[in-house]
Amino acid sequence: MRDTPDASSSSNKGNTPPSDQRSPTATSRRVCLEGAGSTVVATAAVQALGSTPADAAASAMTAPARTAISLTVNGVSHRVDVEDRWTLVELLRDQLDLTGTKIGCDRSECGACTVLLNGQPVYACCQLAVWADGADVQTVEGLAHNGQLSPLQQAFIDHNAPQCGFCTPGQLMMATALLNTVPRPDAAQVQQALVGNLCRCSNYNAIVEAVVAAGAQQGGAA
Amino acid sequence: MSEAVQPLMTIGHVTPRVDAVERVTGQAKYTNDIKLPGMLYARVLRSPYPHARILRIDTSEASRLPGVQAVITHETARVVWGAGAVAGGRQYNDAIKKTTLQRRYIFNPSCSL
Repeated sequence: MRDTPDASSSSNKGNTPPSDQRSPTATSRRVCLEGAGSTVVATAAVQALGSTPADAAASAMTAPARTAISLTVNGVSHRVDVEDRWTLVELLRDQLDLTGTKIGCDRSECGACTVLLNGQPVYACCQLAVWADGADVQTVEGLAHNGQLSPLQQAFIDHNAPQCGFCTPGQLMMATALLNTVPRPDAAQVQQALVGNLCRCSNYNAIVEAVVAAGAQQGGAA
Repeated sequence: MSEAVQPLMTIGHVTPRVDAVERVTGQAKYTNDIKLPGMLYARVLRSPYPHARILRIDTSEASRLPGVQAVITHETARVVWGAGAVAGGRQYNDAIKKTTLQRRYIFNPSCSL
């Protein structure tokens, strides 16, 4: 768990995590872990609650700090008044009703919440919503255009990649990031890119086959 | 039988899942995706100490927080969580209460808010 010096500050507006330009094939999981400092914020908040009188704690609960942010999600602009403690995935699911992005572990382990933040794959459970101010976010709901599935989505169906389907949105977004960088990945590259996206059905072979097939079929962006 | 055998339409053919499109577009609904009117949210508080003995749980401060509907502990729970699907775990209640009053493991929810 990465420790950030300013993690005790409740307002992180403008404190965007460092961007990582490395290829997702090389460091996909590391890229997604860049926002892990937000966990420290939550821990600090709990400790503060425990040491304050009940009345102060109650008022803190009723009036959490909020920040107005603007962001683009799947091409649609939003202005949202977010609580500073909200994560990006909470903003997407609870405020924007985009429940395609899943919360599996809520702690950077499983990858079910993977979205693209300015084109980079991130774990949305460990990105604060305020960090997404001004950002362009892509979720699984934005992969299809006018009802036309992306080649990657179609390949997932053709290769039966989703079993229960809970990890599928995260797998799709991470694979989309891979295909944007490496148009025709081989199986080893796909495995490396998806190493941070767990599938409890253990359907990894079909998922890798689907991504390889999607790349081979189009040889371009997903 | 003089009739010719009809070609098989299902066996031997790949059958796509009926909800395959929903699953790859994020439209498939899972339990956590459902919002109902008046829905309550629960948070489990576990003992920070493994294999410790719980002497008492003071829930008064938690109960005073705005919006809190109930604070459920091992003493007030009508149904013990995680006791299995059989009859909602009811048949284990008394036995589990006896055990959990003595010792708690980190896996056991000892108090819910």
